[in-house]
Amino acid sequence: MANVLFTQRCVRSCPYCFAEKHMSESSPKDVLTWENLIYLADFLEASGERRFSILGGEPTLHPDFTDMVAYLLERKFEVKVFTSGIMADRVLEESAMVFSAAHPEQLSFICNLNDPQKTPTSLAEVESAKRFLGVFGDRVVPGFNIYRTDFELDFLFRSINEYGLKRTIRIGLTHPIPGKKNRFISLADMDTIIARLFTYAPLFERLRIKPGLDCGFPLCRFSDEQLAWLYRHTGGKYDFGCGPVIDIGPDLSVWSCFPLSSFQKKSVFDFNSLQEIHEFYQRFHAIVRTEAGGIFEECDACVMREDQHCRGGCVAHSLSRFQDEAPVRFREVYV
Amino acid sequence: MTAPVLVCPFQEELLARLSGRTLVITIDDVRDIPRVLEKARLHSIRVHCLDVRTRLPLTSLTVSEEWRGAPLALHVSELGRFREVVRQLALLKQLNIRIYLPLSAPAGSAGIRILSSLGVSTAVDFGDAKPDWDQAGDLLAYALFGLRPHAPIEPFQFLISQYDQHQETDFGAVYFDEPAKYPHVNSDGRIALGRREMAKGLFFAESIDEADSLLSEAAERKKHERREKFFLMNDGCAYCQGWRVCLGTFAHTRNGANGCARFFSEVMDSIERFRSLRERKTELWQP
Repeated sequence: MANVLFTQRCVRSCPYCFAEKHMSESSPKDVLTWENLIYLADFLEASGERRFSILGGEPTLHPDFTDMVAYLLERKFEVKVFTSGIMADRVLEESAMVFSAAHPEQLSFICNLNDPQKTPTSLAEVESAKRFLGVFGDRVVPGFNIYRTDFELDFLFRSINEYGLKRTIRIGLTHPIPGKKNRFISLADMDTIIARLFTYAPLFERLRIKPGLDCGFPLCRFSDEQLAWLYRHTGGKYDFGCGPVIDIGPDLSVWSCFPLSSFQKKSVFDFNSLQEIHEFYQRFHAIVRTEAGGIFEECDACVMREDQHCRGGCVAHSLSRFQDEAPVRFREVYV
Repeated sequence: MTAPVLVCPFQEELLARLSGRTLVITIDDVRDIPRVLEKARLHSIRVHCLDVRTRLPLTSLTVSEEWRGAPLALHVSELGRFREVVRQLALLKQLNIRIYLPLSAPAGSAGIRILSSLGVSTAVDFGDAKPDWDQAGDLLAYALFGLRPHAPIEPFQFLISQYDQHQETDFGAVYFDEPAKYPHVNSDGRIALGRREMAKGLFFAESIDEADSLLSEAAERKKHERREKFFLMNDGCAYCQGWRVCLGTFAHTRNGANGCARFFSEVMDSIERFRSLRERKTELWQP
C-alpha cells in the first residue's frame, strides 16, 4: 500500500505532527495534478495494488478533492482518506453528494481526532469535524495519536456512539522526527502509556470497540496478560511492526514514511513498481537495523525480534539518536 | 480508388441532393443528432460520422441513448468537473464516439487522459493558436507508453498505424481535413478541398458531379503547392525533421524555439520506439 499526498497544507498544527519536517521543506502551493494522479493510479494498478490511501496535509483542501476521489472510485480503487474532518461546508456538501453511492468498503475515512481538552482546538474546527462525522460517520474509523502520557480516550468512545463511527480506534504512537523538535513519546514513557491504554480495556470491552495499534509499538513492553487481552479483542489482528509505509508527494517524490521523510527521498519515476519501492526502503530499514536492532539496548539480542514477532519499535528513534553521535555509522543513516 | 467522403453542413435540401452518398455531416448542437440521423435515413445517406462542433463543456451536454449507433466526433470546449462527467460515463463508454478536447482548454491535457484512462476515445484539438508543445509531448508519452491500457488518443493512434518513415503521413484525416479523402461541400453544393479553403471561398468544383472527376487532380495539386510553398522558399519547415508528419500544418505557430519541430521529431521517434518494443515481444509458440 502507499499513501499519496493530495496537498502539503494543513488546517491544524498538532504539536506531534509527523509531517512537519516534510511540510516545512515543501511548497504549500504544491498540490497533486490530474496528470500525476492518473500516473499514480496506473502505477499502482500495474503493481497489482487496488488500495489508494489519500493523505495530506489536509487532503480535502485540494481544489479537486471530490473529483479526484470520484475518479479513483470510477477506477475501482479501494480509497481511504486520512483527514482531520475539518473542511469547508461546500466541500462537505459536495463530498456527501458525490460519494453517497460508493460502497462503504470502497470509500472510507480515517479521521484523526485530537482531544479537545488536551490539545486545544478552535470551536469552529471542532464544529466542522462534528459536521463531517455527522455526514460520513458510518465510513469513519477514528484515529488518535498518543503524544503525552496523560492522554484520555473518553471523547473518542463518545464520538463513536454519537456519530455511529466504525467500532475500531486506530491508536498511533508519536515518534521523533530526526532533525526536528516535535513532541513524541520517549522510550522512558512507553510503559506508562501502555499501562494507561489498558485502563481503557473495560470500556473497549463493554462498548465492543477494537483497539487498532499502529506501527512502532514494542512487543516487550506489553505483559502476557495484555497481549492475551489484545488477542481476544482484536482477533489477533495486531502486529508490532515498523516497515516502509511508502508516502508519495504531489510531485511524485517518494519516501519511507513521514518521520523518515529526510532519508533516501527518491522519485516514483526511479522505480518500475510499488514492490520495487518497498524493497528499496526495506533495504534502508535493514541498514538502520544493522546499526541498532531496535529502540532499546536489549533489542539486539531479542528472540522476538529475530523471529520477526516485533521489529524493535520505530526506527525514527534510532535515526534520531544517530544524529547526535559522532558520524561513524553507515552514511545512509544521517540526514 | 475509394470514393471520397463528403463533409457537409446539415441542411435537408443538401442531403436530398447528396442522396446515396457517404457523408460527414457537421452540426453544432448535440440536440440535432437524432433529427440528422432521421433525415439521413430518409435520404439514404450513409453517415460516416456526425461532426458535432459545440463550444460547450462536456458536462453541460446531456449524453443521450438516442446517440447509440451513430458514429460521433464530438468537439467540446473543455471537460468540466469530473463529478458531472462520471454520471454520463457508463453511457459514453457504450457509444461510438470520439471526444475532441482542445489542448488550450483548462486542464485540456488532463481531460484527455481522464477520459482515455476510463475507456473513452479522445482526440487532441490542437486549435489555431500556438499549442503548448510540452503538454502535447507529455500526452504523446502517455498515449504511447502509458503504464495501463487506455482508450486510443488521436492523432497518435492514427500515426501508430499509418506512419511510414519513408513517406509523408497526413494525420489530417482525424480532423476530416485531408483533401483526397474528405472534400468539403458548402450549402450551395460547391466543393472545396478543406475547411480552410471553404472558409476562404476557394472551391475546385461547382458541383458534386464535377468534383468526382476533379478531386484527385485537385488534391494532388494542393499537395504539390504545399511542398513548393515550403521548399522553394528558404523556410524553416524545409529543413525540419518533423515535416514528414506535420506537413507544414503548424508553420504559423513557429517561433525561435521551434516547439513544433521538437514535438513532431519526438512523435516520429516515439512511434519507432513503440513499434520496436511491440516487435520485441516474443510470440508464444502454439501447438
